Amino acid sequence: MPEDKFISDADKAEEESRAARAANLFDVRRFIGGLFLIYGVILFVLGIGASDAEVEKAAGVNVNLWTGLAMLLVGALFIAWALWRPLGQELAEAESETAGGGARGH
Amino acid sequence: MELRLDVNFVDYAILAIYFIAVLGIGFAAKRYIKTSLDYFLSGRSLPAWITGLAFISANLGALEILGMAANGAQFGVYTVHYYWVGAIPAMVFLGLVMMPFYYGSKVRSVPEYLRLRFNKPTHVFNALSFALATVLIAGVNLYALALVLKLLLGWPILLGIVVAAAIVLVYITLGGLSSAIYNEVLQFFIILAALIPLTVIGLIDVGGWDGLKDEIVKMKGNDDLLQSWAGTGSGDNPLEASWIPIVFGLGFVLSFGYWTTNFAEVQRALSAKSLNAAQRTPLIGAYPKIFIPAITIIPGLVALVTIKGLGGDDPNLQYNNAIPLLMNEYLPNGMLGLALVGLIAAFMAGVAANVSAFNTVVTYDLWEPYVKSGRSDDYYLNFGRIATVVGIVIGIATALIASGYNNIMDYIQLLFSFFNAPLFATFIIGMFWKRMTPWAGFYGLIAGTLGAAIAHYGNDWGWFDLGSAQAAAFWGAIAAFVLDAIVSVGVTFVTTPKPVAELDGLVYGMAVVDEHVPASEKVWYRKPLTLGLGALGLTAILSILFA
Repeated sequence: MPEDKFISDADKAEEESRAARAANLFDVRRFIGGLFLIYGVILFVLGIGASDAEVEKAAGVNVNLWTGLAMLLVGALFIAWALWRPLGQELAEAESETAGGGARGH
Repeated sequence: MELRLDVNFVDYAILAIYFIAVLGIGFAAKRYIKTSLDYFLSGRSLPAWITGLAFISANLGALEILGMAANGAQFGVYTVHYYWVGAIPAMVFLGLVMMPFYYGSKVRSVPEYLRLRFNKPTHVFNALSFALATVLIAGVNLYALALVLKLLLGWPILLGIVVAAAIVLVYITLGGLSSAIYNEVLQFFIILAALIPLTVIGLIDVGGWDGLKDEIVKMKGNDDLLQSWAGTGSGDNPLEASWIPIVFGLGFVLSFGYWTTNFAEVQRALSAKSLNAAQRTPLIGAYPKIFIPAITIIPGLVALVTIKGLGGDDPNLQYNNAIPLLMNEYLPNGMLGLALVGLIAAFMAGVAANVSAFNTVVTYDLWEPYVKSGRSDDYYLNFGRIATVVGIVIGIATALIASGYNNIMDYIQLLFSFFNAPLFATFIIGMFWKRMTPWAGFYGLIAGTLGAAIAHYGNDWGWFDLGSAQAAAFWGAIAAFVLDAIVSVGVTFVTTPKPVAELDGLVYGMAVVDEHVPASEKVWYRKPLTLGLGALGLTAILSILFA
């Protein structure tokens, strides 16, 4: 991060909130959560309409239904985690924790 | 027997959604990238759980999954040695002992460590041989993916290679290492979502773990496949290996060489946000690694019981196809598409891990220091993108070389014996022995690589007989390690060592101490030592339970 003493505090705050938004947008937990929710819905719907032959094939388990449910649950947990502790906020906290000493990097 | 999956539009839709998500991560990552360090090391800003899962995912390629399921069918529970002996101790060692030198010295790559610890010739030699190895391994993964796509979907080999290469190319060129790492984390969960249901259904079908054991005893007439240490006093066991090659060969030379010096792995830890997070990267990765045998070995054993003729003469029924065969046997459309995505994700992880390590080494270790120094950061950022394209194109070409090998695993083991085994000897001596001289580093590496070459070609040309191709690669690794060590020590006594002041932070006893550990990292469950000992203890308990 380039340190420029002429950048005003307002600019810095603006920069930080933009960084926080970018971080949230690029939070892998949202990607995983979103993808699992989509897959969960698809499999769950297929599971509801599963034919006897399909259940028979999978050793008597309605595998689409159960996997779909599990993926919906996991996806929801990831989204909840991402909303509960947004990445932008976590980064800001880490920044203030290390500020004043030991800032590493290039 | 034809092995063609009965896929329909739902399965293809699931595949298409996955590709869109992967590319989406690439575009999102691109918005983030400002400097070359962002591109190559993710700005050293990632939390430990992300780098830890990426660390294990970079290793959880499809070759690993299909290969370990095949081993499960062939060798049974003995396959756990590849995990509990051949991975966990080395991962803990990397996190607790070696990471302070890697991360603390602020190097950007493994070859760069060699430049600081030894000299430029050592650096160039290692950077070149590493670049070659990564491109070859990326090529093997591309080829193996194309083989699976041909077998399961009927796609022509070349189409499979080009489609997979194009997708990896787009997301790495756009997003660099962040994109590779984020995709690896996503891949990790997709692979679990694909393999856990498959394992559970297989177990239900054969009547649970006890039912599976009964079936195998009934089939084989003994319980050899259900033990891990019995018969290792002599080598009279399905693996045909005694405890000596298991512990010293697999557990020491091969495993430590792979996990501690392979930059495609270490790079994940270097992108962590602090030394503590870097140390925790391989340690967090160790926990899933302990349990992965459950979703590779069990399907292998289930396939042995339920797929008649597995491992027989029919090429479609070879052990390597155990998991695809089970998918075909059990999964209805929908879940089938998800399992297919899991396999493809695993292959792309293998390609992407190697390509992102390749572009870093070519840019930071070859182009910047020796060809065009002192250019702007933007210049190297763009160069890294070009290196990615070139790496993938060479990878496609080498994929065609790999197609000349009958057994892909033989080819991979051969590559590891050439590139990883000597490097580990140089590292371990160089890190723990201050006196080791710069030229000892150089000649040691050359001698080690020659040792692996002699073992390989000597066996090929009939000078001596080292047994199967895998056994030969194992002896090659030992030859490389021993020759490297002897030459390193010998050359050290006739050349001048580096002044001690130049070794600060690079050798044992002179590690950089991170004096400013944030309070949030001082919690007991975030301490590397707790995590490392926990992983070792868990492994020991499981080893006893499944002895």
